This record gives sequence, C-alpha cells and structure tokens, in this order.
Amino acid sequence: MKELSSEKIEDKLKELRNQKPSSEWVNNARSEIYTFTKTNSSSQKILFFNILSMLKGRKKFLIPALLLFFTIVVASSGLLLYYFFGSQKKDLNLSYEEQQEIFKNILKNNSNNILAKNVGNTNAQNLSATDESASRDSVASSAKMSAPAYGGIVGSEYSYYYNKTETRRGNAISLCKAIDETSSYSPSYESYQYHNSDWTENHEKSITYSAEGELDSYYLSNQTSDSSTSYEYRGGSFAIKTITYYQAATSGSVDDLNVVPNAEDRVEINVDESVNNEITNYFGSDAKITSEVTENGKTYYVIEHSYVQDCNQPFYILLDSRVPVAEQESSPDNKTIVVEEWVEKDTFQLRRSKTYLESISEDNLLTEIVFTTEMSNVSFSEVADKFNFDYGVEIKEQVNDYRNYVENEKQDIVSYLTEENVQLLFIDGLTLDNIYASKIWTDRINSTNYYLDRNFYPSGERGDKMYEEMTQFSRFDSSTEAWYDEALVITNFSKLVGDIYQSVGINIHQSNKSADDLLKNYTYNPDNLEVADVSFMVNGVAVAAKKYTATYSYESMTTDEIYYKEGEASSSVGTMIAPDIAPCTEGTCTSTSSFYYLELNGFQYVIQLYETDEASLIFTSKTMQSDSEFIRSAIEEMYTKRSDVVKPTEPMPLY
Amino acid sequence: MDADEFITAFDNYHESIYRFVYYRLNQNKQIAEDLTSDIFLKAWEKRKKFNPAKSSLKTWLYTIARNSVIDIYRKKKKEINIEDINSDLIFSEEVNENNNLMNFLKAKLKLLNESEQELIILHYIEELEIKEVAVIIGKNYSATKVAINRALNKLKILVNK
Repeated sequence: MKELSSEKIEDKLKELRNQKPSSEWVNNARSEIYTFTKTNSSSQKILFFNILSMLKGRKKFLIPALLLFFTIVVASSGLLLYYFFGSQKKDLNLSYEEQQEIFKNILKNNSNNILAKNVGNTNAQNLSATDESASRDSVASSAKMSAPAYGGIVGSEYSYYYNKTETRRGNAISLCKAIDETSSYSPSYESYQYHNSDWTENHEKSITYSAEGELDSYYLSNQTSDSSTSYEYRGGSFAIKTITYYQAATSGSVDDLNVVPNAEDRVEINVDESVNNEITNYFGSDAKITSEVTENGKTYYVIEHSYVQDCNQPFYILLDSRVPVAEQESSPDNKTIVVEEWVEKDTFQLRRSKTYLESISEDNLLTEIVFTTEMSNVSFSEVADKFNFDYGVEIKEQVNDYRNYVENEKQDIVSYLTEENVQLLFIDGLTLDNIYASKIWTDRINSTNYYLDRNFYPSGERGDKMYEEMTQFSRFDSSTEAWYDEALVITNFSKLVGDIYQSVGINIHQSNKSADDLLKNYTYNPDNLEVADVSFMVNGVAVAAKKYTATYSYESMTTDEIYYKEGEASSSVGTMIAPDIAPCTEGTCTSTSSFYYLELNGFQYVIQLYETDEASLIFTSKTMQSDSEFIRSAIEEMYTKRSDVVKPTEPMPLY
Repeated sequence: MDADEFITAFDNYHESIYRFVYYRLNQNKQIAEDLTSDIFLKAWEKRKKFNPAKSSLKTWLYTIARNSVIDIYRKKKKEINIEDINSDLIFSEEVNENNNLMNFLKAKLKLLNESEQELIILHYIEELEIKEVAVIIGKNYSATKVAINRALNKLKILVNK
C-alpha cells in the first residue's frame, strides 16, 4: 500500500466520526435516562444552581453572537409568510427541480451573513464552522495560520452587500424561553461585506446594537490571501487591531505545512449533490415554497418550514438544537417552530422572516425579523469607505505572524533556553523529537487578554456588566491554570529500532517541591509506590537518581490479545507517557509505571522510558551558554524531522 | 442541572461519548452502547460534582467516560465476556478501498496503547482542542500536545510499516 502521510491519516481519522450508535439504542437510552432523571432528581436544585451560574457567564458572553446566529438561522432556514390584508395570494405546487432552482437563486442573491445557517457570531470568518469555535470571538477566529476559505458552492452574484436586520418580539415570545433569550439581546444588526471575484479579498464589518441603540459589538476585517487586519471594539476606551499574516499556501519549505492534496487524494465532488446539500443546509430539509403573494406591486415567494425546539433548552446549546420534526424525540418541552420567509420574486432577496409557536397566527408569533439588503457589483474602491475603522479611540495593535511561524517558534524556544539558562539533557543515540517551553505559551496568552481589561468596555454600569460577564466566562481561567505551573521545559527523544519505537520523555522542573512531592503528580495515587536508588551516566559521571515504581492493581479483563498488544505498554494510568502494563488474563493483575528523578545544577528532571532500557541511557547535559550550536542544531533537526508529522504549534486560543 | 437540561446534554453529546467509548473498548458496538448508557446515568448521579468553572459540560462528560473506560480496564466486569470483546471490525469488512483503508486504520488504532488511543480519539477523531484534551486526561497543555504528537507519530509508523 502506498505510504500514508500524517495528513492523510488525520483526514481518515476524521472519517471515523461516522461511527454512530444504533437508533434503537439511542431511543432506548434516551427513554431510560429520561425516566431515570425524572424519578431521581433529589439534588436537582443544587446543580441547577451551578448550571445557572455557568450559563450566566456563557450566556452573557455569547448573547451577541447567538442572537445573530438566531437571527440568521431563523431567517435562512425556513419560510416567510407575511400576512398582509388585501394582498393577492396564489398557491404554488412547484416541482422539486423548480423549487431547487429558486432556492439556488436565493443563495446567489443574499449574503452569507444572512443565509449562513451555522454562523455563530458577527465576526465569523469561516462560515463553514459548525462547532463551538464558531461562536468564539474575533481574535480566536482571526488567529488562523491559513487564510480562511470563503464562498460557497453556489456562489454569490454580487461583490458588495449591506444587510440590516431588526428583530421584533411577538406575542408568544414568553412561551418559549430558548427563543426569548436569544431574541432579547442585540436586536439590531448591520453588516457590510465585499469580496472580489475569486474571493481572495474579503472585507467585512458587522455591528450589533442593543434595544436601546447602544453599541454591543463592532468588528471590522479586511482580508487578503496573505494577511488580514481586524478591529474589535466594545465601546470602551480602546479598540484592538489584530494584524494576521498567513503562511504561504504553497512553497514546499518547512514553513509551509498546509496540505495541498495531490491528484490521487482529491475527492470528486458531485456538484448537483453538493448544491442540494447546501440548499438543505440553508433552508432546512422540509422547506417548501408554498405560495406567491403580491403586495404593493411586489411579488414574494413564501417559503415555509418547521423544526422542533426544546423551549426550555439551555441557551448555550441552542446552536445544536434545531432538529427536523421527523427526527425529533418526543419531549414535553419540545415545540414545533414554524418559520415563514418572504423572498422577493424579482431579486430573490430575503425580506422578512417570522417564527411562530406550533402554528401560524399572530397570537403565536415569536419573532419577526425584517431584512434590509443592498447589493451591487462594484470595485472595492467604490465601497472602501465602508471598511474603515469608525471610532476615534486608542487602537492597541497585536500581530499574529504565521509567515515564518516555525522560525519564530524556534527562536522563541532558543531565547527562552538562553534567558533561563535551562540545562537540557540529551541522550546518546536518541534524537530530539519535541521541546516545549511552557512560558512561551503563557506569555502569548497574557499578551492577548484584553478581554479582561475593564477599559475595553464602556464606562458605567453597562460596561461593568459587560466586563463582569467576560470575567465570569469560565473557559478563560481553565485554559491557563492547568499547565501554568508545570514543567519549565518538556523534551522527548526517540529512535526507531526495527519496528520498535523507543522514546524517552524528560520533563525539566525548577520547583521548591521535594522529589517525592513532585513525583506525586506523575504517579497518581498508586496502590503501591517503591523508591529505589539508581544512577545514570551524565557527562561521563555517575549521577545519583531515584526510580519511582508505581504499582496499580486491577482485575483481569480478557484474554483477547487485541486489548494488550503483546509486550507493549498499555495503560491510561499515569500522567506522563503510557506506563508499562503487562497482558493479564486471570485473577488480580498489576501494572507498573516507572519514573526516574534526578537533580542537576538546580534543575529537577523527571524521566520516563518507553520501550527503552534504562541501562542503555547515557546523558549529556547542555545549555545554550555552553553548547549553543549543538542545541540549535538539534532543534533544527527536530523541526525538519517533524515537519511531515506535526503542524506548526498553534497559538494558544483565548477561550 | 435539571432533568430536562440533562436530557438535552444527552441529545447533544451521546454520539461523541459513544464514539469515544467505542474506539477505546475494542470497537465493540454493544459494549460501547451499554457503557455509554452507564456513563450518562453516572453523570446524572454525579451532577452535583460538576463544576462549570473547571470544565465545560462536554469535557466533564468525556472525563466520566474516560474514567469509566479505565474502570473497565482495571476491574473486570462480569457481564463482559470474551465473545463480547470481539471487535465489530471483522464483521464489517467492505470491499471498497476506502472502507478497507478505514478498517485498516481502525485496526492499527487498536494497536496503540490506551493513552495513545484516547489521545488520537479525542484530538483527531472527536476534534477536541488540545486544551480540552488536557483537561480530560488531567495533564498540562504542553505535555498533552507532546503526547498527541507522539501518538500520531506512532500511528503513522504502525500504518506504514
């Protein structure tokens, strides 16, 4: 078989997501859990309080994004029915092909911002994003190493769009909490978009306002294939300007780790099928053009569809919650939401969208969204003034430069090793696989945490609230605390001997902890822990070390050797690399995990071996002061070696 | 967390949790389904311990799933017999090349040790971010990143050897 590259393997691994449980199991399990939870809720209130706390932070943070999402989703995925007395209505019975053709034209004649079903925020750059990253803020979105992809399969007829949506809440809004919450924030939204013919140049500005007309969020992005410049502003004393330089698409250099599939790897796309998928994605699977209505001299297609919504659904999972009626499990809080959209027949532009609870009537109206759209085919110079930053406040600039990302990362590591005079241990016969310095990442995070600067928000009570919401956002804290205080430097060495992948991990600490205390973090509550004196040769001299052998007891599992490949380490226990565990088929079994500890010149080393004999290890200590060329060369070799395996280290995301 | 919110969590995450368990437990559909049910029932019972300040609901559920898998590895469960452990894989051979490749990859995935398997599953199959994986497996970010790289490297060697 042709050798598979790492990228190919990664792609194929993603396809393993197709593995799903049987629908029968899902039905049964859901039913079981439903019964179990309904009859076993004694401590419901306590945790509910916790959830509320969590939702409070998230909700408030995500509110602007989710309102926009909701606005866009509702607008794009259903039908518009506009009851207007005196209007002329003609029922339609279009064929599937006729209907698809109209849908296709709607895709062509409305901006992505209006139509994109999965856009989670006003700043979304990659409109295909469907996971939670889509609702992250602009910096996280902009911190991409490659230029984002724009455009859909159907494509757009125009180069410039201006959109405005205004949301009105209807009589029934209080009957569906989930929609009530999403529609209560930032009811007004404006966006400007421009792209050139091949979508290599994209400009976008989006602004949201509160019901009182105050600025909620502002985002401006001017992007070319090489770089992007974005501005983010929340009404405070300063705005953030982020310049991102993307790495080149193809250069063949070590720096270029973008995957360009070769001809054999390319997937033939069935265009018709893709278009249909895109239509379904935007309009929903049961969308139907039901009628034409003529009002004030203009004729509109009226499109209708419905979906099921759990009206008590927590706000933060609303994004994933829209389920076609046919596929929805029964639940007391599940309500059918009927959506009507009106699309102007001549222009195929979306003009109005209404959502109703259960059935169409003014009493059941949840929301009404009115769209204003202007579009044209213009050159950028004609609309360039729309894409200037609009506020005369201080601008703080940050740069994400991925053009020489690998080189920069190398330099960061070398600088850190130099400044801290970290003493590395190299191993005869093994080559450096990885080297990470935690401080580099903490510095990067700290340089971009302007969201936690009170001055980023307006003065006064409203700004206090916005700031509080952001500081409560839990993921920020959890992203930093887990690894902040860990090893200074983590190194890995390896060599391939036949089919055996031998490797050694060395974590370098400089802590006030004793060896025993430090090793507690590695051995993780073993059933038994033995400590033995050993020694290693370091720079030709025997250095005293300790070997910590943690033993874990477990009952035998199976004789199936697939579980434990014979002779191979296999355990989830431990915190460094997989510890040793022997195949065990009968009775009570034990597994062991060994770590070595030694100290040198004030540094603490925790070492773990994998398929490697401890007696074979001969260490040499190196510092940048004494062995600069050696270390630089090893790092250079490491990057060269792993360039086909590992993508450049990502910038640490903010959230 | 009230019952309705929990049901919603089930709706949103059962496929991910199932997949994690499926690939960690020798790709056996029956066992994976049974354990996934257990995991959600366990999560409901432990809901008081969920601290949203420490992890998201998703990573919390993955953590419970991970611990449940470890429990199985460490403590033989009577209801799982040898036959149950047989992989679905041998029954799902397909003739087309892509499926052969997928099955080949799934077989190789099983040759990784447990830690490596879960890293590959969480990061490459479930597409969790490194920091999310770090929370689930209780390691720091850098160590997790290193371990993920190692696991992919090893998988590549296994696939191509």
